[in-house]
This record gives sequence, C-alpha cells and structure tokens, in this order.
Amino acid sequence: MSNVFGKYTPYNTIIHRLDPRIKFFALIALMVMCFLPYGNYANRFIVLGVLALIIIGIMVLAKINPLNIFSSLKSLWVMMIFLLIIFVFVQQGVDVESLHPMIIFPNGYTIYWEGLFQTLHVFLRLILMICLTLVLTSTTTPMDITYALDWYLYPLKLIKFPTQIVTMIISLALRFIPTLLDESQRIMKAQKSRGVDYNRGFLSKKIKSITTLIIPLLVSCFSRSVELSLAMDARGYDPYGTRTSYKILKFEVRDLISLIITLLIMALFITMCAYSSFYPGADNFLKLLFGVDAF
Amino acid sequence: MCQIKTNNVSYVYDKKDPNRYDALTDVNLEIKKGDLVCIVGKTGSGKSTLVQTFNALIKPTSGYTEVENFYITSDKKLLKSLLKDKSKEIKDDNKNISRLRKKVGMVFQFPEYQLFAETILKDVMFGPKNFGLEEEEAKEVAKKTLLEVGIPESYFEKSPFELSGGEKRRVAIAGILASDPDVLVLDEPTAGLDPNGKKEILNLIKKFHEKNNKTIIIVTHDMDLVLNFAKTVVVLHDAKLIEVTSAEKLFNSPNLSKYSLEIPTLFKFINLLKNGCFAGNLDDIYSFDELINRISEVKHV
Amino acid sequence: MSKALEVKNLNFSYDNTSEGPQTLKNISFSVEEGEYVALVGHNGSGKSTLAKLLAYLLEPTSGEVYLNGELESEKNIKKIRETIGVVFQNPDNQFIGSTVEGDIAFGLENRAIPREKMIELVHKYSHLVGMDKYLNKSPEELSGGQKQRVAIAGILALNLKIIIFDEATSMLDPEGVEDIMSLIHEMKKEDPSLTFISITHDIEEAYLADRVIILNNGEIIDEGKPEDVFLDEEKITRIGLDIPFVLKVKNALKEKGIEIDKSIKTLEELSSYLCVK
Repeated sequence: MSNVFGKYTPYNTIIHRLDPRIKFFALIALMVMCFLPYGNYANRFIVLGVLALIIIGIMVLAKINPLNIFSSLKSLWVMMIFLLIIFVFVQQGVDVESLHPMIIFPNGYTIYWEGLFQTLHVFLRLILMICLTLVLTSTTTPMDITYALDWYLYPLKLIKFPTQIVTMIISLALRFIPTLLDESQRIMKAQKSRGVDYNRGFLSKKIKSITTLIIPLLVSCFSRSVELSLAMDARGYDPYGTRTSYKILKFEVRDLISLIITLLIMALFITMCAYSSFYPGADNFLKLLFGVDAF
Repeated sequence: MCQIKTNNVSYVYDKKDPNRYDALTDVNLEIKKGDLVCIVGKTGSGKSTLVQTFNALIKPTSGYTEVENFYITSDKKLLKSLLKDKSKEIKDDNKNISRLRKKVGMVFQFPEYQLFAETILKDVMFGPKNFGLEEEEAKEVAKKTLLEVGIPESYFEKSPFELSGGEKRRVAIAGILASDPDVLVLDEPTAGLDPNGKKEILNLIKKFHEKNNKTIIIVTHDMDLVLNFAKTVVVLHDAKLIEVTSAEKLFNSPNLSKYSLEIPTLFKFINLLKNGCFAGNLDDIYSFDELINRISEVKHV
Repeated sequence: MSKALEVKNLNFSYDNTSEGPQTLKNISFSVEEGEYVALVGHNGSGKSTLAKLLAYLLEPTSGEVYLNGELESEKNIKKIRETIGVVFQNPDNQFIGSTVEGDIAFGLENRAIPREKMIELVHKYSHLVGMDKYLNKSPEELSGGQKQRVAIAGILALNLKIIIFDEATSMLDPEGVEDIMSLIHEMKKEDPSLTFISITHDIEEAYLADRVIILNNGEIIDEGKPEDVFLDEEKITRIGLDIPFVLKVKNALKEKGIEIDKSIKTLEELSSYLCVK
C-alpha cells in the first residue's frame, strides 16, 4: 500500500492522455537541452531557469507537486553536499587565472566562485532530469512506456535484433517494482522486530543491517523469477515467436500539438546554444538582454 | 493485569493522497497479561495494522498504544504530555525502541522470508545479539530454542535455505522466541502449511504460552484455529473494533457472516442440525467430541 | 470417454539421474476427459513437481506422459500449450501483464491472435470470471482471489481443455478460496468437457473431486473415490493429512455403534439423515 514517489498515479490530465511515444521523445529532448553547452555560468543559469519553469509547468499540469521531490528524495541533499565538497575544494580549472576567487586562505589556498557555481549547475541539471523522468513515470503506465520503447526500437528489428525480448524484460521489471518494494518493506519490518535499526549505527553495522534486507530479497527474487518463467512458459510464451499486440498506440491532434511545442522548445534552446558558441563576443545573454555585465 | 492498551488508536494511510484510506478508526482494546488472543476480520479490516502498533512498527496517527510503560504514537505533543509526570527511567525507556521490540516479539506472515544468515544457528542468534546478549549467551539461547521447536542439533550448521517450508518457518519463529519476548504476536502463522505443519506450529505456540504464561496474540483467518485455541477473540471490521468475545460466543452469534467471517465446519454442521430440527439440545456444544456424544445419546434412546 | 492424460511409469529427480534423491517414483495413472481429479499429499510429497511434469514444464527423468494419446515431447510442445493450462500457487508471480486486460491478453498475444479477436475474447472471459469491471486495474490493486480469477480467465480465453490448479488456493484467504471453488463449479457446469486436475492439501476441496489420488514421498499410495480413499482415518493422518469433516463424523459415530449409510456424502445429507430418525 506504500505510495512511492514517481509511481504511476491514475489521474486524467492532458499529460496522462498524451501518446507515450511523444512523452518519451519530449523527455529525451528536454534532457538533451539541459546538457547543451551555453557558454558561461550566467548563461547556463538563465537557460536552466527557463527549462525549470517549463518543467514545473508540465508538473503542475500533470498534478505532481514539484516540492515533493525534496521531501521524498532525501538522498539528494547528501548528493548536493558531496558535490559541493568535491567542486569547491578540488581545483578544476586548467587556467587558474581565469577563475574568480571567493575566499583566499593565508597560505595561498583559494576557493573559487566557479566551484560553487559548478555544484549548483550540476545539481540543477540533476534535479531537472529527475523531475522529467518523474513526469514520465507518474503519468504513463509501465506498459505504455514499454510500448513506446518498442516503437522506438523498431529500426533495430530490421537488423534482426530481438527487440521484443528487450521490451519484455523491461516491462516485467517495471511490473515487479511495486511488488518488490512491498516485499522489501515487509522484510524490513520483520528485521526491525528482531532488533535491526536501519537508521543508526556505523558503517560496519549498517552494512550488516543492509544484508538482512538484501539476502532475503534476493532469495525471493530468484524464486519469483523461476515461478514467473514457468508461468510464461505455460502460457505459450516464445521469445522468438511472432506475437500480436493487444494494445495499439493512437496518434491524435493533441499529440501533434505537443510534438510541435517540443520541437519549438528544442529550436529555441539549440539557437541559444549555437549563438553562444559561434559568436564568442556576444556569448552573454544577460548583457544581450539587459545590458548587465556578469563574469 | 493489563499489558497492552490502545487508546482511541487511529491510523490513516497516505494522508495527502487521493487514495488515502483509514486502516484503523478509534480502536480501544485491552489485552491482559497471559491471555491468548485471536484477532479476526476479513482482509483489509485493519488487523495487521493494529498489531504492528504494539511494537511501534506503525505509530498511530492519532491516539496511542500503551505497552506496559511504553507509549506509541506519532503525535509528538501527545507523547510529551503522556511522559510528563513519569519517572526518568520510563522516559529513557521510551527513547529506546529496541527495548520495546524485545518485549513484543513479532512473527510476520511467511516469516521464512526473513532468514538471511549463513547458518541456522547464526540466524536464530541474530535477534538475541541485537537485543544485547553476548555471543556465547546468544548461542546457548539459540541452541535451546531450536531444540524446543524441534530442529535437531545436526541441522545447526546447515544453511537455512536448505530446509523444507515447514522447517524454515519453525527456524524463523525460533529466531523470535530466542529473544524471550513477553508478548508474542503472530500474523497468520499457519498460512500455506499442510495439516501436519499446522499442527506442529500450533503445538509450538501452545507450549511457549503455557510454559511461562506468556501473552500470545494471533492474527488469523483460520476459524478452526480460533475455535481450538483462543481464550479471547477480537473482531475487527472496516477498521473498527466490533467486539471482544470468546470463540464459543462468536460462533453462536448471528453476526459472523455480517463481518465476512468464515464459520468453522463444526458450527456449520451444528447449525444444519438445528435447522433440520435435530431431536436433541445442541446449544451447549462447543467441540467435536461433545457433538458426537450428544448425537449418540439421542440416537441410543 | 477418452483418456485426456495418461502417465506411465514416471520417474523424476531434480538432478536428472536415477541415483540421486527421487522426487517421484514410478507414477502411473490416467485422467478421463471431463473428470475432476484431486492430487493430494503433504508439502514435499512431490505433487507440485508432478503438476509441472503433466504440463511438460519439466521433462521426466524416465517414463512417459500421453496427452490425448500422444506422447508429450519437445516436438509437440505447441499442442501441449494449446491444451493444458496451469494456475500456480502464488497469484503475484503469474500475473505477467501490468493490468487485468493485459494479463488476460498475454497468452493470446503469444498465439498471434488478431487484435479485434483478442479484445472480444478478453471482454468475454473477464466477464465470465467476474473481473470485467477491473480491466484497467494493476495487480497491486487486486486481492489474491481476484488475481487467480484473472489467471483462470487467461486460460479459458485460450480455449484450453485441461486446467491444472497447482495449489492455486493455498495462499488465499477463506473468501478467496471460496471464490475460486465456486468459479470451478460454474465452469464445470458451463462446459462438462473441461478436465480439472487440482493439486492440493486442502482435504475439504479434494473431497469434492470425482477422484482422488494420494501421493506420499513421491509415490502413489491410494487412488479412488474420495469417500473410499479417506475412509482409513489412521492411515491418512499418518501421512500428514486430515480427513474430511463428514467422514470424521461418520467414523466417530460408527465407533459409538451408529452406522450411517454409505451413500451420504455431504454435510447437508448427513444432517438431514440424523434429523429424520
């Protein structure tokens, strides 16, 4: 009965109704947009800010609370601190001259602004990526995701690559995620009753605690997979046989519109990227827009 | 003496979610020390949630469960006010959840899924060690408990995964018994076992109960188990506590089907006889032997 | 009547030799078309292994299984899959689709049935098992009994003639068990040519079968009508099983000197018999 963040929720929003192929394409497109080079940090933050607004808009449309991501994924904070330590304390620039010092210690050791920016930049990209994936998984049933994937893998079929096996494996994995989560929760409760504390203790104790979950979970996974393969065999599944598909995907007007919007967004960001790389003199969006000078 | 007491315990799953639902609503229940309680109700009636509040695996979203000097609730203000006038010792105890978990042993459904250690002996030692016993003491206790549940010494160094289903379950139960809990809670202890396996597990529980007059709480669907076992029966339905009664009263009351409870075959038969106007009084019959004696009395007249 | 399944001198061991521990020893029996046979035995008696051998999910170490007179082998595996369906013990581990309709359709997809036909079949059989209101539900939203109903719909949609229940009710709550049992009886009424083989340790369920085969430590120790094979209470208890309630009452009364007619089989019959005299 656990409500897992990112799990499919059966609302009926426009995002839910979209063709999964479009959603899949938009996910990849927006992810790539997050990773294009946009020149200096000021530019990067402006671009990511715009992207963040677009993504938050999509999340609101899909009835996902964007703030949930912070409360649900506590490990994000650990990651943030970890990144900060690495980027702030480990010198990265080849060309130290071009960096902007933030704190200079008496012994000459310097912490640069770039370290902080780098952390924020990586962190923001990470969050945006998580949000995007989340929109896909919480508005699309696992089966639909698999159908979309199957469609995109079509070219591989032409070179006799068994795409249907790959998609079957993925769909089974997705199908069993909730089952296994329930199971792991049950095991954890049973072990807690035997005095295991999963939250406290030093590393060695923690590792021991984790094995009390992992081993029973693995054992049950193996027995499940044996039973599952028997059940599939009994129902005549042949990985190399010809199968028909119960579900077909329909491409509708709203899908076309979403596709166009996605392409427009892509065009915008690619232009920005191109602009900043081909006109080095004018690679500053802030200056371009407001006449303000940044780093 | 009252050992476990729930005070207006409610539990709501997924409070903010569109599919939120109430697993428990205002449950007030007292369980006496040394009692043998069966908690019955159909799937989803809240019985598993209720027993999980007894060792704080689930904390009531409102109200609180009291186990001797432990107070279990997710309401921090309430907890503070409950502990306000208590001694320092009790306050410290309440900070240490593992003391509570030692006191209330919990055997989950299909407990064989919790086995993980490389040998049976080590697996049974795991609980006692977590609760503070030294290696040697834990080993002694584990050996003793394993023998009690009928696992011979020659098995001790085997991997728990080599055992048969019934044996695995006995080892898993031994893993809880070895910590010597004051209260033993079992969720569907006989599920999936054949008649022989069922008998073995029930005998084992009975022995543990009688030996030290320990409190036993069993969550079950198996009405034959309730009939032969329970001193007290607690009926839950749709997250609410319906009644606290005895097996005899429960099976003679007309409410049974209302709460979607199965009628034990014995009582199905008695009811059929009553409806068919059997020539003898069957109102005070509660066991198979009594029934047979009554029928033969009537038939021999 | 013709023999739907015939087993001859079947042996099986998991390490595939004749020296290792034998899970099944020299099993021979047959099942008629339209019959309801219960295979009973304690846990570990080899009954589940036997179920898998019947459906050719395992290969016998030695001996043969004949399906409608034809030897089961890798060559006619397609035919076997088109005749025998299995409902397994764990409702979760045989739910392959992500929704009810997807799961019922899984077997149909495997047979490359055209989509229009599939939709028709999914609707027809989900209705038959009473799951037509849940077509879009995922397995987490269903009870164990409902999942087993879906599995049965998947088998019926494939128009299979032999259905093996491999302890299909042992993980269900009483409501779920009753659910599945009543469904079996409905199906039997609907199509008398369906053959049921139920692997179980639930004696009350086995008592409802046309014929019972008792397995103990990999060997058949008794076979016959339920009211006959369960008669010897002492012997049945010794191999770790119970006897049905009706027979228990009859035996106990017999000891008290009250003989009850052999034709009486159900609780209802017994109670009216006791009430009349």
